[in-house]
Amino acid sequence: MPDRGFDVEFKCIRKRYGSIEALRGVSISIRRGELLTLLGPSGCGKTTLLRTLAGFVRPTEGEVWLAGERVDEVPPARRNVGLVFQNYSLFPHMTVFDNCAFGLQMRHLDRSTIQKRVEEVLNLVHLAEFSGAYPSQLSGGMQQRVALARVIAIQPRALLLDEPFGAIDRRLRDEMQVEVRKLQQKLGITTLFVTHDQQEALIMSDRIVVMNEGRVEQEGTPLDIYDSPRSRFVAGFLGMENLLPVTVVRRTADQAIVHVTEGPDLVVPLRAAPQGDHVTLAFRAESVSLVRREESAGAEAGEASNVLSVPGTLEFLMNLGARVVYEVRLPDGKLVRGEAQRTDRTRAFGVGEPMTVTLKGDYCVLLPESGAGT
Amino acid sequence: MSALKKPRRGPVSDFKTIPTRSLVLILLPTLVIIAFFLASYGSFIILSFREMVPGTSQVTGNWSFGSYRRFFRDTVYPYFMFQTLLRAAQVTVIGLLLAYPLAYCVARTASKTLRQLMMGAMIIPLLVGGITIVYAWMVLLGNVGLINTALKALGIVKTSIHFLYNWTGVIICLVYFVIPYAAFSLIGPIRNVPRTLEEAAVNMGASRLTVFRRIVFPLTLPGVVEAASLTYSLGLSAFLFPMMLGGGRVKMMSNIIYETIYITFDFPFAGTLAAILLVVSIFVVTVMTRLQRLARRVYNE
Repeated sequence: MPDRGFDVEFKCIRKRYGSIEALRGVSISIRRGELLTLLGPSGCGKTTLLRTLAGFVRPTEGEVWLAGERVDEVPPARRNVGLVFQNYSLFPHMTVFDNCAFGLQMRHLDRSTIQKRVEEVLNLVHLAEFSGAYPSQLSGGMQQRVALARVIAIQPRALLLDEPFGAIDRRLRDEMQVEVRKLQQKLGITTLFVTHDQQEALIMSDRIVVMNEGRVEQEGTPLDIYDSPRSRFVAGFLGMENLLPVTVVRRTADQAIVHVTEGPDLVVPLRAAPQGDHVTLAFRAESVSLVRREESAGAEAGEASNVLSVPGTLEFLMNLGARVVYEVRLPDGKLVRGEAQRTDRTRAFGVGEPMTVTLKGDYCVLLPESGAGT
Repeated sequence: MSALKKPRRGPVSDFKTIPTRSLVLILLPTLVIIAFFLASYGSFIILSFREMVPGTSQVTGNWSFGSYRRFFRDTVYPYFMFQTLLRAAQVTVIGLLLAYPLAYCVARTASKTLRQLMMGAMIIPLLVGGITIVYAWMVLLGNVGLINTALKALGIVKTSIHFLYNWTGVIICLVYFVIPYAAFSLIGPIRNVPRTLEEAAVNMGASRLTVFRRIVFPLTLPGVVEAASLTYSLGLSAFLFPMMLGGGRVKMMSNIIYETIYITFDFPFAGTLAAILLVVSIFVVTVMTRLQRLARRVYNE
């Protein structure tokens, strides 16, 4: 196979369990030194795909390539990939040192080499002084670092991280994410990372593959995925709460004019816009702004522009400390969800009051009318 | 607010402490049973320090160490004791070697239905009772039994192998009898070893054998010791199988005690044999418990 700088290649992987199809033809490539994230809800097949690379799942169809070698027939013990589990899976009856030495002993290295290598990796994760401790004596974060050191010690051809931060509490998780990412970049190790947490995916990744129901839904850089989701599923999964059905009035080369609700139309920039007149307008709650009707300048009728101000009724309001979340009903019955900083202005809002909702077209994305999922 | 009633006051259990009244109710029957047990043990231990009135089946009221002296003077009894300890050890080793893979297989079966089916099958030998087991094995192991017939038909042996009325038959049957006990006490400890630990070891390059030797076995060692002490106790107290399948040629301590009571009517000596067997059993169980604690400490659980 010609080497095109890809370290890992999944080619059209299918996996069937009886009548259930966990993977429905997934093709993904990971470049050398790249951290690629599989992002998706539980049951989307992301862990199954990772396990085909580790060798614990045998694909029904398709090929798995690792560093220019086809590995789907290679037994898991000989693949030389490092797998880090969500529950750490450290050997409880071995010290930190012995845990890290295990993989090296399997490679029949001599004692002094093992000693040196283990010290190296423990230094990398700042746990050198804990080499004699047992896993149960360490905190969750430390255990996770040992799990990482343990697989780095074998100098794997690829690092596989299966929801590695799932069991760590929020604050520590943020720290660990940065630490793991730095370590991965420092070592330049090709990494496949599995998570259901979009925030985590955005922080960690060079590239994200969003998966749903055993298929690749979208692939791109974190900002690509965040700014320009191409399906309702990806938009929803990355936190675009608002998905309104709208009609395209007119298209130009780089923008579309859409009819959102009664009143003027909205100009939306065209990225990878779907065909057809009936589409979905997707936008984040943060990009909605809200003022009381009496305070707004009443420029309601008029030309289509890239800012849309329409009347609405405040139906729901929830204070989250620094922020408020609200829902506004538009005159044609559509519901818009918004989020804003909590200020004196928002404090005056009352449920049932007439409001003016403002949307900026630049922050909106057009999606196919209906897709997989929400 | 007024519609809400205060919770009714009454005896409230916080699930941490058992109320004293319940505790008494639970303990009382237990104490009665324990009292009867201790009384029976006490009576044969007292009996072991008595003497027979010569030429009769009467027991005198004098205290005596005569029976104990006889036990150690007459080499045949220490020999039977040794045989019993040895055979129980053989049964334990063979039983565990067979029970461990069985328990592993059950523990690692993903389907709950299948697992319960397997466990159900394991219980059957415990349900049918010893006599049924003995006769089943007699049919299998006899000189014209299933196994010998098959071996001869296949040309592997010319004359029947004598399985019955020697240690072979007794041990086969005892092993069969202890396997469910050993396997059941191993299933839990094996299930407690997360599958991902095995995967982690394989991922780092370990062979299946290494995974077993370095990960699964050490982590289940306390369970293995527990299963061993259970199996060994069962082996030490074996009575029916050596009696039925030993053909009077091979005997274990329980059989000797039985004969002393029902054939020679020497109650003090029977009491002595029983007391010595009891002390040896307690010693073995204590050693095993210590080992188990040691195993737990070594593996830092």
